[in-house]
Amino acid sequence: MTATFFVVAGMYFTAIFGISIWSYFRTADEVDFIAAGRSIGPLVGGAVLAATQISAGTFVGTVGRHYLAGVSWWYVWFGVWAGWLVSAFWVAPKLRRFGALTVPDYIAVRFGSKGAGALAGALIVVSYTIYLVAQFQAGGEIALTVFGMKPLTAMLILVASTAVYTVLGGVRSSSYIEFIQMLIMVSALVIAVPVLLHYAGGITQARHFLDSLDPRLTSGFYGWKEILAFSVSFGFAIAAAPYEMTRYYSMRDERTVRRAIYVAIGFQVVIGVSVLGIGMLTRVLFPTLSSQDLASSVMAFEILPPLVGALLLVAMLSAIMSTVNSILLVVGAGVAHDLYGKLLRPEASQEHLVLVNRVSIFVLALIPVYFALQKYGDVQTIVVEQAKFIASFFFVPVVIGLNWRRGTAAGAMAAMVGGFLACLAWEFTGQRGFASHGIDAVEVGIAVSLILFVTVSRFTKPVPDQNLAVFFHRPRG
Amino acid sequence: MTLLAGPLLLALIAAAPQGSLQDARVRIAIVGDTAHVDARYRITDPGDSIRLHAPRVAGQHTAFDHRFDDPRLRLDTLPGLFRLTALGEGRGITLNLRYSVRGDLSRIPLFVPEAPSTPGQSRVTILVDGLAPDRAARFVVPRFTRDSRGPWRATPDHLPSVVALVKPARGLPVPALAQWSVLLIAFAGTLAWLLTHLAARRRT
Repeated sequence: MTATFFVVAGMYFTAIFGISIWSYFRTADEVDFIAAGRSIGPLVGGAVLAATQISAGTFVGTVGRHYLAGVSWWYVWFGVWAGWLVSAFWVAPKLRRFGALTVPDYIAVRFGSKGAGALAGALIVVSYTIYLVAQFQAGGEIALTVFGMKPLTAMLILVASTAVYTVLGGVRSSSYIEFIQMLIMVSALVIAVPVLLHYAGGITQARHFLDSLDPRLTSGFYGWKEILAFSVSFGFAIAAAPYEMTRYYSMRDERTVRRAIYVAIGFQVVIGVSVLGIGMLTRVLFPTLSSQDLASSVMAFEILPPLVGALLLVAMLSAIMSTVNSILLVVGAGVAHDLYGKLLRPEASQEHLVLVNRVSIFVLALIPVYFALQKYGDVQTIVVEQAKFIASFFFVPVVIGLNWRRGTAAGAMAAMVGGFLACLAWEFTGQRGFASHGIDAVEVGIAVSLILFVTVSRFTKPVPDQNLAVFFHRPRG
Repeated sequence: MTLLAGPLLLALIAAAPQGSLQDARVRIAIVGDTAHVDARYRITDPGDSIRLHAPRVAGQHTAFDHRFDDPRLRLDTLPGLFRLTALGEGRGITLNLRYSVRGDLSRIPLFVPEAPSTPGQSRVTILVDGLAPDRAARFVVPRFTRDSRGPWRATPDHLPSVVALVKPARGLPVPALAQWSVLLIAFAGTLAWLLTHLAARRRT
């Protein structure tokens, strides 16, 4: 199995580094690096959006949640898809028409405030560093289970290889690599399910086993309040996710963006169903694991035939790498483009900005390694926490801000800071009583953010019409 | 600070399993259409009681050793599984289970305690004797190896609920089909890429 894995992984890494080097020679300026020259079509674009969304959180965390909690976690996908549809109709086309390089660019122009853009950049860097922790932790779990490798070694290899291909080719190489990664992920998952079903004795036997093991696995492990909280976290975060929105900018036009989102939802339906099957069938075959995060790597290593198992492990690494790559691009752009280029050195040349971006990517990739080694929670928990914060501080300024012209810079800043702090405060106070009142931190964060946005905007000076023209067809007359 | 919130949520949603499986040694002897299973488990900190589960496989008849009448052990037959409840004995418990399975031996059920094993610290060994040569060891769960003519041996990090053997039958088994489909997808993908690439070059 290990030898097969190395052969498959060797072929895979040869392909992605080949594409990175090819892209390197086609990257001339910042638009090329951050937005791939705005040349990506709907199929590749859709695969890229799905690959960015499908992360270690899915392969390790979601499989683990289905292993632990059974079928009820699946309902969370509806929240994810609702978020995508909100993005397709009310966010992506307007952002693509605007044609900025980063999301803080949008914030700065839409609200006519460099300060609001910088604040958005800083919050993005902080929240996505947390997301990287989940990805690295998952990489460490896989390496420990499969190779007995120390998590730190695995994480450093992961950082080095992902940072190299991100640094070399930027979004252009990432887009083509993620297209390949998406195909690997979908193939591996779809092939794995019938094999597991075969070993588990078929659907009926598996269902009877799980029913008797714990009836909640096939009915409802989570109550509707918990499902709602998870769905709101993911849905609201997806609708305004900076790393997804950055990918909109690399696509040809508004129509391409919308079609790409539909393609992405299609990929995710297939992946969602497969992951559900994998988690529950792994529970049948290995009913007791010390951590649910082990389910996917145990399944790939112990159950699947060597070639399929190796493909799935490579797919898991692909998922982690594609997400790490996307996040590194976002946080690198946050530092170089939004903070350094806009605030510290506005006169910096294109070459200098690309260099700062590349250095930031390397530095920011190393920070989460420390946190990942501490293992504060299971992978999916960290992903949920991060989604809560993104939803709390970004949903209102992005989604409402794009569709309500009265929103002001002060309103947006109040919404971002207030939403973030309210979510954080509730996590450490009211969240403990969730079982009785059912109010989650994400719901508090979004509500506070919305109230502050509307109230503060009402009492502050409107944004000039020239800033709004690109987002709202008719200037206010 | 954000990360500290993780354990709060985790505590809300996941109940930690009790006890720890220190050692599991399972020996399966296949004679004709019967598999005799002899399993020994050592579990630490089991609490007041520990439960073990094994799947009930269609087309099989399972006969349990008379020692299951032991008042400290209770066997329940439920839809889809057998549940064995053992009373705890202080800080550790050792269980010896014997049963035989007759009929379809493509999947031989094993009892898995609710106490998880810890990779690197626990020891799980599964031995299979008398495996017919037509049951190739290539597509079996867990992964077995064999030294000369001795029993097939697997030492997985975690105890599986079944030993899945290849059923002697006509045609390719599902795992083999899956292997082939991987190769087929890789071949088709390369071919599609080459054709697209060639077409694009011809256009330019």
